[in-house]
Amino acid sequence: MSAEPLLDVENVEAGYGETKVLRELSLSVQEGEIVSLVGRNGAGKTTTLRSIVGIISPTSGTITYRGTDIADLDATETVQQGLAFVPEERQIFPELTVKENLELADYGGAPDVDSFSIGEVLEMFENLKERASNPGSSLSGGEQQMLAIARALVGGADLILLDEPTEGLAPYIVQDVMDIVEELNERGITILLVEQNVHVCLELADRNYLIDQGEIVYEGTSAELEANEEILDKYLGVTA
Amino acid sequence: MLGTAIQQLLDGITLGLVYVLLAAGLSVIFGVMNVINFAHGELAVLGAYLAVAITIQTGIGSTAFVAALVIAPFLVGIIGVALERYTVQPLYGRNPLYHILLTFGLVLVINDLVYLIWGTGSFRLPRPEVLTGTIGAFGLGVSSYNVFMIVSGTLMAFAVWALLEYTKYGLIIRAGSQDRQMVRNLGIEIDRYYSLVFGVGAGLAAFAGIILAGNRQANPELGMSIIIPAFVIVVLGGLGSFKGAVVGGLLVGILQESILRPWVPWLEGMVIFVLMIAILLIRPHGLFGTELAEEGGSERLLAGRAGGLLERGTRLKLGLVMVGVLALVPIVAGLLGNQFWVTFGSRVLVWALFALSLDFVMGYTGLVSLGHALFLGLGAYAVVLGLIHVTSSVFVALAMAIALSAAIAWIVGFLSIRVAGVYFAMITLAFAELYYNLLYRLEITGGSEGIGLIGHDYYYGIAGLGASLDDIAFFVGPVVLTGHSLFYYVVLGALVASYFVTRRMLQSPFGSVLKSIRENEERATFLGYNTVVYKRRAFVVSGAFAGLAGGLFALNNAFVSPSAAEWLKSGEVIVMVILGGMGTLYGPIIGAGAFFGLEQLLTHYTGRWRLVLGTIFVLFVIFLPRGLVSVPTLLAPYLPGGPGPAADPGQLPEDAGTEGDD
Amino acid sequence: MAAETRPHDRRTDGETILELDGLTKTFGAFAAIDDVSMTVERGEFRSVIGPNGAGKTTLFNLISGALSVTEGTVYFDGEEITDRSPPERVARGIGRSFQISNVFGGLSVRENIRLAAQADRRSEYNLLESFFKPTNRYEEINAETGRILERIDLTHVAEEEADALAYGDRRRLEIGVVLATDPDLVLFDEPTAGMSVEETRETIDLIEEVLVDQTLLLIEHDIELVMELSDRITVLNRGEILAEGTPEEIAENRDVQDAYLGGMTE
Repeated sequence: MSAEPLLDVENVEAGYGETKVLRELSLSVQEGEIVSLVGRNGAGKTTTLRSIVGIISPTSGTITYRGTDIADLDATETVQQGLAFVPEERQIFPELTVKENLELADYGGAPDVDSFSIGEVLEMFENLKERASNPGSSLSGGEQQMLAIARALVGGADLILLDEPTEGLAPYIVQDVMDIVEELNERGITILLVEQNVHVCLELADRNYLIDQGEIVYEGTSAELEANEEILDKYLGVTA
Repeated sequence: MLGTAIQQLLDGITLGLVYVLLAAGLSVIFGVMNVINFAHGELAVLGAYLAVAITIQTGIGSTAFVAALVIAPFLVGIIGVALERYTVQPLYGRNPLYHILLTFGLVLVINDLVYLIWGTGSFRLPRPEVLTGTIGAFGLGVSSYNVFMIVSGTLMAFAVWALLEYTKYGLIIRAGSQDRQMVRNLGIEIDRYYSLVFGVGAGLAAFAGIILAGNRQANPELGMSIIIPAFVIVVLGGLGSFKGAVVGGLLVGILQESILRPWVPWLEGMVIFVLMIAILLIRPHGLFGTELAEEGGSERLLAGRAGGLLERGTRLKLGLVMVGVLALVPIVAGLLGNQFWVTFGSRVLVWALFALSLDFVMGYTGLVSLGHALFLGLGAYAVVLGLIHVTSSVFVALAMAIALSAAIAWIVGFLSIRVAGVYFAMITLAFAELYYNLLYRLEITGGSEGIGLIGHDYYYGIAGLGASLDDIAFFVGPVVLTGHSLFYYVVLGALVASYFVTRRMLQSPFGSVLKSIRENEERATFLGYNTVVYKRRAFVVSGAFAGLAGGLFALNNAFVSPSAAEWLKSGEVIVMVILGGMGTLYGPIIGAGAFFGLEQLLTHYTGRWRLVLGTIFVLFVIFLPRGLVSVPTLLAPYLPGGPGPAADPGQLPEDAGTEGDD
Repeated sequence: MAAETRPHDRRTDGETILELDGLTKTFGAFAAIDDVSMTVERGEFRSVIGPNGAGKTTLFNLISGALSVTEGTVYFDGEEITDRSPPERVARGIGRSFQISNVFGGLSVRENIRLAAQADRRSEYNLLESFFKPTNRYEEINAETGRILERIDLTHVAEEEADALAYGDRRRLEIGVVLATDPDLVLFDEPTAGMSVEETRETIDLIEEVLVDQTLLLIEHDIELVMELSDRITVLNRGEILAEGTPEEIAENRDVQDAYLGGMTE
């Protein structure tokens, strides 16, 4: 892992108004990896993603993507650089059809990154193909998640930031989402995954970061983390 | 019979389509940018006038007409783009009510520009010969221009619909009105499209204005008269909904032209406001709108900051000196033999009281009333009618004005304070317009003529004890103070007393709760305060003082007409509050002084003083939203080293003193 | 982790202060809270935990009145309050704490406390006085304000603007404001979100010190802290109560561990 990382977050501090959420947070993602950021509710996971993508700007620290500083870019600009953000709420446009949601993503995204065409994506997600002319508001939770990921693909992204993709989904759909994430990774897309569900992380990720109170408290491969019961219990479990 | 009904229906559809085009732009602008554009009607007027100018340039005929129909909306579209970029854009991220204030300023500017360039006359757009005749069908003669309006209006509405539905731009705009942040997250610079939306909306308004000007006499006031129904339609259809604008526009057009005008003309002009109030109360998001989380609504209005330079005691002394100077005005005017400054001073002081009353509710609870002229009008009519029919004591009549205004304020407040922000502004506007239209209809108020006090005896006193101001005279040196000069002192006394009463209220438990609501309403609720009740009380207090101002307003003129309650008055008083600095009590008083001082100064040079005033107001909203009272604090860092880099509004404090210097 | 070392000195008398009966809150077709029944004893320190989206904050909003219930009943102090507005509930003794940026920043520290005391002692002035008698002339309210300032140790900065306070002092002020509303039950929704470990500790100590006589209901993500402090814990998952019991019981509950670790099909 000595190559220059695709994404490098160093000593980032960020928050909302006067509430500081991230304290000197550092992490890095190599090209081709799946990296997870796991932690409890309120630990600062979503804030980390929002800082990287530029929805909020860090008060200090640096964020570099492919060697360029993106800490001061806003969300539009980072996405144009080749990052894509799939938010926890999915944020499907409720009154646009599935196809329009994808077309919109096609207008945006990163111009210099190879992207999927709408046709390719619809082949990939069969449920969406069937519902191509239905409004976003008619989709189930799982379908919304698929569409949110599909938008990222159509826009074109080398690095996708996934915020709790399995939240609120039935277990068999969770499995579908996990399969998709793996398939994307095989196609060369790097993934930074935020999860509360540690099983998902252990199964998917090459490396895991554990976040607590806005700081990284542990870093390790999935095998290492799985074996470290003390850490699992301390930061994620309920047994003391 | 049937023929007439069909004719009326066509008239309704014709007007309805004009409304559709106006409301569509307004609604989409609101949906995407959260901006309520009061200047939309003025853009329509601008279009109509440009079209006339173009037809005159190119010679009257079909070609000229078509040229005007294409070029004028395009020009207005460009103006729209410029307005968005240079005036609307700096305000994104502030409370959306600032856009209402800004666009009101633009109304003043554009309206006066039209007067300045094209004069006050009314005109009708020259129509090409093809469109002047009638088309016979089914035994009726339909004016071919009406057919043209229906066809072109429908085509235009379809074009907009197709643009929204089938183009890249339309998709981005529709997405933007659902979730702006997600559009940005997809890598699309939504902000770049704002100018486009504003420009297209302006162009549409211009088109609507042009075809309307071929149908009926148009004048510079047209904008003011179409903007209000357009708002009703947008609210009715649902803020942000194109479909709502279409359905609402046709509905209101048909209601007005096909039902009310021919069958119940007495109710014309009132039903739509009742409708608007009902919709806002029962279904605030309208027929087709989705419930919007008001983005940026949590941003506070910017209150004026007391100049931190002066000690509290110094400020009090300064205030007393000001009152002293004001008290000298009639005496100095008497010495100079120029009574003008007395009448002028009375007017300023009445408006200062009115502005103070608005500030009490706007500056301290954040409720922006766009219809405060309702209370001015109520007070004015109450005093005049009271003196004619009930009593001859001015004091009793003023008490009636205060009581009536307070009671109506309670009712309006009871109905409206549940809806917040922009909706509250709209609903107060609707109530004021309802009252304004009612004044025209009622016999007792004298209709559009108004009523005067000339020939009616009244006295200052109570229970028969007192005298008419004309019968009292005080001799101060060589000066005789009587009549108007004494009335000046009555108003000054009322203003000073009102200032101290409201100040006392703010130091009491009631006022401290208002301040806490201004700071953080949710928190105040969880301290155990029913904030709705406190806001309503503030609104009642405000209504009462506005009623007093209205009473004095009528006495000053010895006459009242419906224009006392017109929405322009509501707008002007907001201008004064912002100019001075809201949330300070004395700020609005300074604001009223500045407003009239400026008017006085400018009328020496131009009849179109509102143009300058509007421009200054727009600059204030953008650069100095905390008003004149914040100037000392802003200048403080520069003071020791000499005069700071004074912004153009910085020279205003001198004007503020105009009324006191003479 | 030992329950017997719990630092606080609370007394419960077995009397029920809060009772929720079949509480349900739906948003559209989605049930954020689904048939929740629970009781809290006077003097208890109760924590509510659960994964993201479990409905904890919604539950608090139903108790404080910020949201209206779809179905079910809320009893407080033996009285039904289901349809009462938030201010009415505050008057009956349900206090709610906010995160620290939520004091009245532009008002003085004293005024912040005084406003709360003024709300609590509304019976001491009539409508006319509320309009015209200056706030500095209400002796009882001002004396109470003074007592609370002493209690939270902010007398020396009483005339400062709340915005100008240091972080720790602002936290004291926040808790003082809640105390001044004289609550019997205080709701805390993640009072320590965004705080470091030491700050969290200090905040909890302060709550325990100042609000020792009140019943506390706490949403908190720091499980360790919850285990240490609570008398009882209620675990929510997908709008339903998954488990309830003493910290020891909760720690050993298999369902709870599953919910936290993800409820995956094994």
